[in-house]
Amino acid sequence: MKARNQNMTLLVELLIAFLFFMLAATVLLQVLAASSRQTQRAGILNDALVTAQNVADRFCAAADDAGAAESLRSMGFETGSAVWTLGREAYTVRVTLRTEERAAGNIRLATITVCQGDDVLLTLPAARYEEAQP
Amino acid sequence: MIKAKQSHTISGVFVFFLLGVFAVASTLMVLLAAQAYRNGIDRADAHNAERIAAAYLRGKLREADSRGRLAFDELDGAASLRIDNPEEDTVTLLFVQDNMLYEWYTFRDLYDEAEKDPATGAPVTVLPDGQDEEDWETEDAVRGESICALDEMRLSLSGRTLTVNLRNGGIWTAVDIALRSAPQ
Repeated sequence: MKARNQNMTLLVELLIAFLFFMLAATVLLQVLAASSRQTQRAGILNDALVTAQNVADRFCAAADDAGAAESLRSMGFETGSAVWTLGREAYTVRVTLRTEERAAGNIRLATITVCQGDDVLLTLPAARYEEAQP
Repeated sequence: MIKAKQSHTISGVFVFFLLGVFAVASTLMVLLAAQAYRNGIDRADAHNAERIAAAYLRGKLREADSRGRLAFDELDGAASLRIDNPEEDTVTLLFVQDNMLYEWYTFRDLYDEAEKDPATGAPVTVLPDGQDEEDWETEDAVRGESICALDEMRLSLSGRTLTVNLRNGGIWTAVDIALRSAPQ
């Protein structure tokens, strides 16, 4: 009778220990999953930044609007009137072009936006100055 | 009496069986967590390696381009970038060797001498002042500082856009730079 009682007590203690172990394991798995997601997001963000910088530099290096359009096409952007789009596996790059006229010339502006779904990961502006024709 | 004894034995065995299951589950959980952590670290390291080289070169080339000192060069048959500094008569060479990105900052005349080896035509390692060749093994002489891991670097120029393609492992990363001045 005494041994049976002891066994029952040990069983109850084991079950309680099991329960706490399961709780701790659940928390640990959640932390690992969040850490993996963070690492993946950081990698995507860095890739997006490199892509955006490359787009900005190609835009600035173009001689004119036709050259800029050719550069964007060579990078895989799809043609748009004012918005060019490049779809990548983890994010989408959009380039919005506009022109501001000044007395001394035109400023060609490009806003490079990298999105992941509806979330905007980063926005990078770029500008190219064209002197006014005499 | 015998049945009661059997019941005691079974309940005792069951308790220890449960204890064993608990121990195995704990061990598996620790192993899984360690493996997941190791995988995360390896992925982060691989990404860091490719990003460090790209970021370093972009900053270095922009700085050199702003002073109009950038030039293409070749070292040991591989493409390299040369940054001239005529005020101090020095050059900085960026090249890839032994899966590492190196930056070699030296005097212009030493660099020019290093390019000419009458015996083999291969670049000669520059020895520090006051040292004789017999005192140095080839492996001891250092040419430049290693910056980061990089397997290959390819350069191309299209108009005013310098494209530097970098390879780390099997992953290629392209770095485009709009140049203000035409490289030599």
